[in-house]
Amino acid sequence: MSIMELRDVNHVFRRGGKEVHAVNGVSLSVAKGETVAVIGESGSGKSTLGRIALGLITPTSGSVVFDGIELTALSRKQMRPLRSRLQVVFQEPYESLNPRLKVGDIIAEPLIIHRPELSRAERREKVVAMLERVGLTAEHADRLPRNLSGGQQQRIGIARAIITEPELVILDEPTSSLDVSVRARVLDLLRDLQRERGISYVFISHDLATVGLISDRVAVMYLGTVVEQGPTQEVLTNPRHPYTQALMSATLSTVVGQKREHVPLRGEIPNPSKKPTKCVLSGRCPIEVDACSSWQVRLAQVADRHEVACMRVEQEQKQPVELGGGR
Amino acid sequence: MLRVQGLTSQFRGRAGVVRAIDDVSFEVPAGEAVGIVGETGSGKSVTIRSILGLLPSYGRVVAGSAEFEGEDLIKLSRTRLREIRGARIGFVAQNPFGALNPVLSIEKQFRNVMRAHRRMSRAELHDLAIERLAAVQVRGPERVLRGYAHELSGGMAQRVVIALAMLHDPPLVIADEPTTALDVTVQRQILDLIDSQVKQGGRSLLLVTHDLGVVAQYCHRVVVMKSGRVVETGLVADVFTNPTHEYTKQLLDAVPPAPWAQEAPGLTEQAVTSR
Ligand SMILES: Nc1ncnc2c1ncn2[C@@H]1O[C@H](COP(=O)(O)OP(=O)(O)O)[C@@H](O)[C@H]1O
Ligand SMILES: Nc1ncnc2c1ncn2[C@@H]1O[C@H](COP(=O)(O)OP(=O)(O)O)[C@@H](O)[C@H]1O
Ligand SMILES: [Mg+2]
Ligand SMILES: [Mg+2]
Repeated sequence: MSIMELRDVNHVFRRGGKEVHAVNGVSLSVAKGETVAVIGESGSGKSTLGRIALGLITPTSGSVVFDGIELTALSRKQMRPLRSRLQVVFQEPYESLNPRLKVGDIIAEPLIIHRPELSRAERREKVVAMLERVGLTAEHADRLPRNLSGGQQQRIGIARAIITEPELVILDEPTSSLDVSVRARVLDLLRDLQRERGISYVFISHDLATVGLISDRVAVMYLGTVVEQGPTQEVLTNPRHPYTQALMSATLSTVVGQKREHVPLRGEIPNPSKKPTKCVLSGRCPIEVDACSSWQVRLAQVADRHEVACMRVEQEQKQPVELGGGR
Repeated sequence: MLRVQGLTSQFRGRAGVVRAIDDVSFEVPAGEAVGIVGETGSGKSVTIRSILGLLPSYGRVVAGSAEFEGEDLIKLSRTRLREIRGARIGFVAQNPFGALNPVLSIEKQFRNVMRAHRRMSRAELHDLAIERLAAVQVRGPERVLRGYAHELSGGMAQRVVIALAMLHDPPLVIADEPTTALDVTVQRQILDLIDSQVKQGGRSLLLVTHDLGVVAQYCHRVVVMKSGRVVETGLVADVFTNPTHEYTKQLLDAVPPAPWAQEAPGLTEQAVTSR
């Protein structure tokens, strides 16, 4: 059963005659209790996709179904009752918390909106329980966010998202601004909360190593397009798209002498000012051939539930002997 | 090449004097690459800025020395330090757009950096700049020279900064998180570039980073910092395989294995629970 289903979602930002094709034909489904990672470099459209899934942005086209409800058809008012079931945690914990509110009030705020029947005492009780659940104490309720560390601030962001007992939480780079030692513990917390409550996560990240620790499935995005997706272990051990391979090889091991051959991409990410008409990696790809430019971009299956959008890979799949197998 | 001893710096602020680094000591031997690692706020940048005389006016080195080519950089006048920076020590900062002047053409900036230390005709300098930009793999160097910083991508701008830092062939290069502001797939290009530029010239490198992988792959020695102090120094091969300090161990344990090293399905689970 899927809790969220995105189908052929496109989004174009238009401002002052300029266009940004932020999301191009993305389809993604999230099963109950599952973590789907969306990974890619900055500007690849991950946050836009996340905001579309949250119903904060109505996509230019495509369908967004949450628990059987088509979000793109809802008005703001109709959307409101769904907000408690569909929450978000942002990358910059401090910037996402109201600096003038005490921690306790920040966590209580969603309850005031979505559970107005609760008395003040009941609310307080829930807030304290939530604080303790995320590894803080009742004493933190009376503090201001700026007097807490980055890791503690992010725990508050998580507490605020979880307190309405959502079914799906969009985690938009929740650990990217945290130091490594803090990061590991916040990931542990997220994983424990998921186990306890069966929450589904969309985990947005640019770090494949983190994604390997937390997600069941992964979708790799580049220039608004999903170039590869599949079960996380399968994609990480057998990455097929040159972009995924480049991302993989960009992560350096902390084990001295443990090297992986660098898959270099030429140049840098181009501007997404036009809708891509050919393969998005064209111009940077290390295995590009002339025929790539006339190929109709599509995801093709390379292994069980593992899909890749690359002409070379698709051909190799069809004629494994001629081109030599594997990576 | 560089010997830092007992370096201690503080800032004056509303809440009084704050000690940012305390008794920092380490060495950068000739021809070696030394990495300084530590989490945010551990004092890496303050260490570099203290050595280079780049602290803001309300910051001050209160003790210690930084010996370089027979002189103590801490005791030098601003003018003498400026001579050394650029000519004898190349500096690459985190944000290339902060390092480049937005209102001067790139060529003018090459001219300024050159003029500060050496006389050269315009034509000669132009040729040298083209050559140096080509060496850092800047495409269309003629056009880049005529243009301005804002026309460059982050990676290209950092290449220009590296070319400027190397213009006088300095024996020591100091880089403070030179790739943190760049796209992931560009980061490694820039690290490889710094690495090759340093190796080709037989230079020494002092590289600040929060990424332990960068140290493991690009440095001979490591200085681990925490809360303004050095907790451990040594050869990367020793420290990373056999950390003696609990903090270094914790740091190393906290980094998940590289995604391509997370082999069997059981392994990630194991890596998680062992923490
Ligand atoms: N509100 C907006 N208006 C115009 N362009 C936007 C807006 N938000 C994002 N973009 C652009 O859309 C593209 C994708 O951005 P984003 O979804 O934030 O990517 P990511 O989260 O992967 O870094 C980028 O080119 C970005 O500049
Ligand atoms: N300009 C400044 N004014 C006041 N305090 C500063 C300034 N720069 C750094 N500090 C303080 O010095 C300490 C070390 O900072 P820094 O060297 O920038 O850390 P790192 O580079 O390791 O992240 C921190 O506690 C920081 O708050
Ligand atoms: Mg984003
Ligand atoms: Mg710093």
